[in-house]
Amino acid sequence: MAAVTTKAEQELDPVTIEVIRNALMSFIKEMRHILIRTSFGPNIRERHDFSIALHAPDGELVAIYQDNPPHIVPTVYAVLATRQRFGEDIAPGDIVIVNDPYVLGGHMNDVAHLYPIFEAGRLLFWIVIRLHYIDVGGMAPGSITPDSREVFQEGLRIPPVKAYVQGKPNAAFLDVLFANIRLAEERRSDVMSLVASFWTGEKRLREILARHGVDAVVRCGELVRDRDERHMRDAIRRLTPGSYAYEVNLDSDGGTARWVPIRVKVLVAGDELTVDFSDSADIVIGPMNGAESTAACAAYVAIKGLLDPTPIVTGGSFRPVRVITRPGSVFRATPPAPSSGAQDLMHRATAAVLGALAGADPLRALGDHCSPAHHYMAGFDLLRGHNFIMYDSPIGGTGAVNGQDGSDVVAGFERGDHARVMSVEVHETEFPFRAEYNELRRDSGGAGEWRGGLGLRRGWRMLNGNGTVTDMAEPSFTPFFGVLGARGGPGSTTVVSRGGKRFAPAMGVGKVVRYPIQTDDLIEILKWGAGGYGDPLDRDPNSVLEDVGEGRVSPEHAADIYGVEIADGTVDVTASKRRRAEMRDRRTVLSIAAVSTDTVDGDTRLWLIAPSVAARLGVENGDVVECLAAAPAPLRGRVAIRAEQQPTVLPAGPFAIACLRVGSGSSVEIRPVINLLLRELP
Amino acid sequence: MNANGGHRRYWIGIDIGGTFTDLVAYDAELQRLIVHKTPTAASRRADSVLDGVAELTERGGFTGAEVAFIGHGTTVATNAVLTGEAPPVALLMTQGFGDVLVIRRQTRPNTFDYYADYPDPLVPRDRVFELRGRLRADGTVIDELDEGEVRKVCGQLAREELSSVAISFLHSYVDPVHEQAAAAVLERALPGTLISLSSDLVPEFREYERTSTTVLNAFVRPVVIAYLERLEIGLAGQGIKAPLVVMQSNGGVMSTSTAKRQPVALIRSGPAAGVAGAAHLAQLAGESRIITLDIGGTSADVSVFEGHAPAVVRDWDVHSFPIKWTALDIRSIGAGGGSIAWIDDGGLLKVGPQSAGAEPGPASYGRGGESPTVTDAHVVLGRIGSDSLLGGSLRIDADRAAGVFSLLARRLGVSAQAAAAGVIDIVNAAIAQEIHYICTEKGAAARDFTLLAYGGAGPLHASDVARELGIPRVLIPYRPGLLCAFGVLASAPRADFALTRLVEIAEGGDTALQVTVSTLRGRAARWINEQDIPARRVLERWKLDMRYRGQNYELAVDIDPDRLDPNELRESFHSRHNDAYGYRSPTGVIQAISMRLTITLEADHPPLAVRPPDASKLVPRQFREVHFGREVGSRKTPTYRREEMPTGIAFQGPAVVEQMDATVLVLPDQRAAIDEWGNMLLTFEDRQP
Repeated sequence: MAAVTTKAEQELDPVTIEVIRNALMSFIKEMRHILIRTSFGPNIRERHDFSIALHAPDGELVAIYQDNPPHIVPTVYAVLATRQRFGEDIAPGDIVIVNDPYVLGGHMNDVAHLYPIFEAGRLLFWIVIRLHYIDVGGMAPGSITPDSREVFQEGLRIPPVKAYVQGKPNAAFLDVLFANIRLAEERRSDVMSLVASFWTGEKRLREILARHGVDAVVRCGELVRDRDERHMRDAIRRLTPGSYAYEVNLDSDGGTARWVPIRVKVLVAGDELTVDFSDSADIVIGPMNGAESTAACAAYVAIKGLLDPTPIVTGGSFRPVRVITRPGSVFRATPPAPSSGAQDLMHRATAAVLGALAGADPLRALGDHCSPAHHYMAGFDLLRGHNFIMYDSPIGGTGAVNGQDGSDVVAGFERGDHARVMSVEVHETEFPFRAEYNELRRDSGGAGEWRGGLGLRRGWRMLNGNGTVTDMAEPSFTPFFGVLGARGGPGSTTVVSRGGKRFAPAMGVGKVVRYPIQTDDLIEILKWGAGGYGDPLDRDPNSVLEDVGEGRVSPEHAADIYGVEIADGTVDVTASKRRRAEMRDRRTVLSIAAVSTDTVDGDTRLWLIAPSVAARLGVENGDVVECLAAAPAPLRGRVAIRAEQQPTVLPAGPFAIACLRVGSGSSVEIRPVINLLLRELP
Repeated sequence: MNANGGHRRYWIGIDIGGTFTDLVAYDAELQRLIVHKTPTAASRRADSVLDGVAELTERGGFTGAEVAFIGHGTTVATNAVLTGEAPPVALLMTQGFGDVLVIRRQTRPNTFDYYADYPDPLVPRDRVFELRGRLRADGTVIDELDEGEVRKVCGQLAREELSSVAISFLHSYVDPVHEQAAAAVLERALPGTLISLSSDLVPEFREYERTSTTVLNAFVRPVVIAYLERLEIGLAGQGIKAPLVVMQSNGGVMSTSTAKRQPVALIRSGPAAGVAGAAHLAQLAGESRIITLDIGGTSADVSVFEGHAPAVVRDWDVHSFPIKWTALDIRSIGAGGGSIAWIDDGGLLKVGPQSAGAEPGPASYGRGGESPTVTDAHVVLGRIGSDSLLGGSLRIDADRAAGVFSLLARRLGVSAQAAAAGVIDIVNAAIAQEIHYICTEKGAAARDFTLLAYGGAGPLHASDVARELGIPRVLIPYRPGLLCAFGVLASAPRADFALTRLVEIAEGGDTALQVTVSTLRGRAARWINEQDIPARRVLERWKLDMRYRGQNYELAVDIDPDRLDPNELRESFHSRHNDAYGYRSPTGVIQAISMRLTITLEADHPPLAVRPPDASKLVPRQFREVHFGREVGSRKTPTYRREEMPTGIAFQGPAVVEQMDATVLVLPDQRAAIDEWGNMLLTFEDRQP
């Protein structure tokens, strides 16, 4: 940006800055209001699956309201791509559309619409609306599908294109767009409400410019970002300097059942952070690929939550953060790699950064948390006589923190006002389904001194129709992780009941791909619970009792995982004490032996253990175990039983040692990852 | 009975706040106002009111038998929600959906904050009872209600002594049959149980918001009933025969019978009374664009309205519990006279939300309060004199205020005066920001409005807030500390009814609308029957919420229930949509969703005119040093008595105007003038009023 007039600088006292900043947030709020009130698809009006942001001409984020950061942070890249494509050829009234996944790093449904604001020929801002189209074409209704193998199967890929030219629709482009997507009529109407929202937004923004002066408003945007930058630098300086690493695995890339590791190293030095994803998996054949923006967004939201947890977001906060990705990795997908799972990749990458940074500030560690997942039920509604796509987003709980249980069925910390669950009464008015239940999933909260939030259990009975169900939940089988000894909640899946028999169509790769459903089928959605905080054996037995009383925890779970015995509605103190002591004694602690390379099978981490250790843990080859050491987050791998392995020793390569924050000879606890999901499957 | 007839000539308005209970009596014959203010005893609110009424009648020299009207604004319902202090409540819900209160809408209270959480639901999971019985979206029955199962639940309710029960079944807004059947079983098995039906309170779709409203009703009901009954018995004991009416969130009053059935209507009762009073005054004074600022002991309440009617909201929340009930659009900031100043970990000065309330109250009240409050800050700055409050019956101990502020100042490394000025600055900035925010939301600019300030502390802050927002005019009512009580007198009985019925606006669609009209008329008739207030006229206002098919939010259009022509309805919706959102969709199919009816009973209100005294000169009581903030510093300032200010007089600031119920601060660059209604109008010298 060019230097700004000193006049504006002198004029801007802290109160004026605050006033202008609030005004900029208010006009976004008003645009949101219009979009919600006038849009036609339930995904916008009920789920609020869209975001609006104000960007500087160079793309940096200036203001949002309650918008969703994972939508917004990557739109910076859309602005950059638009500048690259059109250069100076942008005029008032233009609306540029872009959904290119290799730019925006998300599913192509999240279409960015950019609207420039000029004053006397000078580009001041971009208003950007990122809006989830329920469908953008491709092989599957809803476009997001685990079985895509090329981007062409995931819908219409839109590089920066002018959908409106100086206030007039570009009919040629819009005709092609609407000819290639499902439910096109609904989207046509939504474009009308989107344009109305832009026009109102511009009117309001011009009022703000007129009231305070163009220079003052522009300058305010800069000062606010500078302030957020200083704030973030101060917060980074307060972290313990050092290098922190962590590894999180996706259960599947959608095509194979093999893990997709996300490995991150975070370097805290002075007032800057470097987040390096270079060691992560190569581009995968299924849709779990993303772009640089996927990694950047994951790093930014994790760091913002940890260091500056206010809902005010500008690009200034992210200036001290450098993100590194490796060409050829899942964070640098190239055409024609599919990427409709990029949002899931982004969410797990966020968890990886949090897991690493937990080592820098264990008191602010967070049990792994949940993201909205994509459940599509699509087909033909016999009663209403038309095709439908029902996009449902039941959710898990939030991770526990020091001193506080997680919240049940609440979106993760990095989510704005979106992923609202739709009212059952609204669903039933519009779709050929009836809800049979919508309730907390018992025992799904990750056990810990502080319990993770519970997930949802939701059952849909199909009425008068036929179609398919798709479930992209990630992770599907492996529980989220707990921190400081806590457990995670069970995985997430979809079960279909037909004629009294239950089917688990997700077995295999862990995703449900257009599984056929018909009238009277019950589609049961089981959502994860989040990770806990602290050792479950340290949880106050009375809190466990209360959980049992309110039905959040079963008496068996209380005894098996928390070591709390309940009889006649009270805690049996003596029995519980004894049980907890026994459980502590039974824990398996090994000694780390540093080795020169991490042991992997393909790209999947292996923990080599002796047969006697496997017997003690009750695990077999391929089972998932986790190691707990100095680092708050546990490191997972699959069991590989080796006869030659010493029973007291656990070999660990350099990345494992960095994750666990241990050295040769350090003690490490190894334990099986309990998967309660298996209990609930047919 | 004619309220003005016979010897019943006193109209009483009461407002019970967290700190003070305010009472006014208007003598309709002599057109005089008798006022009284007494500290609220938090533990015995009803008694505070009864004592206050006894003191008021004694002060006014009249008897209970002479009372024509007695109306009351109360925070008792809100308080129960905020503190959670109410008997346990049960919820009966459709099987499979008992977690509706826990699941909410899945959305976060706050982005990025791991620790952000909602308060626990008002009904914990183990007091939710799921029942068989299920309707389709069109109201047809899938599973019948199992009355045997309901009877079993009755047993549990009795064992656990759950005497207030909310019933909310899926799709009951289409057909209340199952809710009513369950209620009938409950009434038979457990006579006297308080039953709140969602289909009765909010027959509109979206189950979470409807259930939340129903549960709020059930939760506050035992508390409100006990409170009102105690009041009614006490008032009867004082010989008052006029029926008690209570202020609702919508700015109208209602009978106690309705209040006991629908106490959820009282959640915003207190603040609504003030805004209703402000609206009345603004109308008299000819002001049409008003920002109200009501500062009491614990909070500052703000509303913005254009025209004479305050804006209303239908979806809002209390303590983050959603509520679907028509209410005046009033926003609250946790800063009042009793708010405590403190220093955070980072060494920054903060104010509130902790409040010293009435007990122990600010340090300067000498009732054991040891924390520096906003009121104490005013005392330190010389703005509140030692005998200015409650006509001198509440002594102000300036030394105590100075003492607590010097402790705070030492930790900040500044003078006590600077610390006190800082506290006031912080409160004023927070209020100004909220006002600015609401204005922007409405697409308006604060500078185009008049600030109407009331509550005990409103007139102390109003001028600084006005300056910050560029507001040229500040209006202070004759009795600013009693405006809420006064507002009750100005309010007519009012009720809002709504019914959700999805109807396509096409030829023949008007038949279905006609059915809705008669259903709403029936419900309104029941409500009107419950009101004991003599009414001259019943005013009806009908609205129809419509949308284009595919949208899910509606726009309200005024309708004439006796003239429901589809073509006219369609055209009014197209043009309303165009006005609101800038476009119309001529080919769009239009649906009607909910019909709304607002009933107002025009009562025989006296004109509520107050005559200021006929003096011609204004003599300062005294001069004292008053601090006007960092930029202006201290000035030797005259103090006046408000009661001695005649109509038409004008004077230059600085000044402190003292009265029984409030203190008014006039800045050095302001002029003050008293209008014919006794209102004080403050204007800035350098701005055009």
